Amino acid sequence: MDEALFLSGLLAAGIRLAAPIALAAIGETISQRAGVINVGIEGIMLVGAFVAVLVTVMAGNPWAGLAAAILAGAAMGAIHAVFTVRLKAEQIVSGIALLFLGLGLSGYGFRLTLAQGGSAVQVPGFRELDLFALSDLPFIGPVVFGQHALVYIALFCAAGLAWMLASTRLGLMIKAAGDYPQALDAAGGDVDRLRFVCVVVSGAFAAAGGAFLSTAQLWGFVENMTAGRGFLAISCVVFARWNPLAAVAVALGFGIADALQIRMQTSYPGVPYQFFVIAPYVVAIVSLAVASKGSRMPAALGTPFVSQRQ
Amino acid sequence: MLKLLTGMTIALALTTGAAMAETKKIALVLPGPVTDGTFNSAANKGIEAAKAKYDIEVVVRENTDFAQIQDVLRSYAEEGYDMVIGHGFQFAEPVMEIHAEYPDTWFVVNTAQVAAEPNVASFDNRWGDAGYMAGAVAGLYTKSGIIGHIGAIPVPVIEDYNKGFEAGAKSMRADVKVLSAYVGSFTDIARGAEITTSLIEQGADVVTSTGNENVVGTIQAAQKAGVHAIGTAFDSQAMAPETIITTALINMDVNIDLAVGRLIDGSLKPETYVLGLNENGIGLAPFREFESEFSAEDMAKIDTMVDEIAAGTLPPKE
Repeated sequence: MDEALFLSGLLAAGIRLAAPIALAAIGETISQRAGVINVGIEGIMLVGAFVAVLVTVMAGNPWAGLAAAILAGAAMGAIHAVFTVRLKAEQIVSGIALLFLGLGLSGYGFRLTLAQGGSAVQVPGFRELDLFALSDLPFIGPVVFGQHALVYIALFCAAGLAWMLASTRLGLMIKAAGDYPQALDAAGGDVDRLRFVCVVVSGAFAAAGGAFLSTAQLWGFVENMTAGRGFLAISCVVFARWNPLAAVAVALGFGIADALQIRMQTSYPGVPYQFFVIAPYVVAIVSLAVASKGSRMPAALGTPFVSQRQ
Repeated sequence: MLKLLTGMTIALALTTGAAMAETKKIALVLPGPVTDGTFNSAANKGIEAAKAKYDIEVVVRENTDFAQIQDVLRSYAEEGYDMVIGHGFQFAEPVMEIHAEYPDTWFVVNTAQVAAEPNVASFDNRWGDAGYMAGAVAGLYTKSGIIGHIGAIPVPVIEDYNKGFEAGAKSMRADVKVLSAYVGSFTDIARGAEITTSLIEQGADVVTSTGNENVVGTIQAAQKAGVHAIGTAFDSQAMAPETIITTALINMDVNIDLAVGRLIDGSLKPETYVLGLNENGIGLAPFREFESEFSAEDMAKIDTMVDEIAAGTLPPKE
């Protein structure tokens, strides 16, 4: 096959595979920067995927579905925030509970609604954009100008949040909440309120990632369709050293590795397929091992904060 | 109060005891959710039909991990179920390990070939024949001469289907190129779709897929790319009427109807029942709108092939 065509197909597929992971990773970065780890984003993604499909079908418009998914994700994030920030519960335990809550809610909701009819429902999902009518350009067209709207939104959000963390007062306060909350508290900041908001925002991003899966990459919901992408997003955050733009880059690397293994499988039918399927995970583990050396984890990550002020 | 409760419990035990003498209790244990639109949906439909037809009491257990299978089987046997149906070849091994301890319960395994005295039977469908029919249709339909099969994980029935698909396609068009890839998961619908897209980019214009939810991914990828698909196991043509040419049916409802019927009339034996075209264990779904796209000559070829499979002369033995 033509090399340029192969490469552009590979990159486009890599971006599609990366987008849900990248969206979830952006949210998780913000939450962890503020000091709250959320291992339940997989569950939030599932709820987002389901709500997006349900509302898209009801309203006939994928943007309505996306908006509803974001609201649902924020609500799920708020549950995690109530337990971890307000009630100071163990963050990992609350996150695991959230995972199973999301798995159950989305599966049960699906059965109560869309799965009732027995046959599949047509979902009027997102289509790829054609920015400036340039998506037909050879090679770069489909990759640069022909992606889903959510891909551009994710990039924009990641850049905005990276700038916010690096150069604004709010960013400084978020970092302080995650690194040395006592200082923020002494300076008169409200650590718990800040953490609460960040966890809610992380839920909204995770749900948008789920909505990408079910209304852009695919048009439909199946139970447990995220298949571990929420956990990959968490490893992206660590590897990217808690930088939202770098997290998107890592997710992209992972997506391209996955797209490549898919293509290698058919090119080398003699090699057992398992070697190819594990390739992206090997990339993830090796890079984590290399990156964790100089890692700079938020110092107060996972630690509930109790204000000393009266 | 305590007396009343005890009395009620005894009364309840008596009534259920009396009912048990006639109504058979059957448990269907599934590896996935009943909403998957293929393998598990088909089994659920089968047990629903059986419930309407026979005097049985049914419980369906979904999403059973491999590690849980033994415990789940034991708990149903201990609760006095007359038959426990394990839906999938992965149930064979745990069933063989525990069946002797529960001689009053029948253990039935779907899509596997195991049997043991006195209480293990299995129902297997001819997945290879189903793949052969799908391949033949794909071979006749393809314009590009390239077709693809996307399997979930290369378990025996999926490999049989894959081999049949290739042989069937080559029987109709000798120069056809058959691409094949595996998802590595039964549930990862997104990756199933991306793998399908990559085969389409390599020129495939008819694709087919085996597994659970991943099949939906293949059908959607074909739909978006404007190429065609052949469904498997469960006729989901309504999902994408312009995309799905036909479906290589694996009629799980027939497996379940046979198992339950034979349990009730006492003719169930500890052996493997292999269900092909003649037993209605597999089949080819109607072509519907696509019928007009095949020439009379091609339709005749398909009919002849189906007859020969029923007669046992196709597919060629290795």
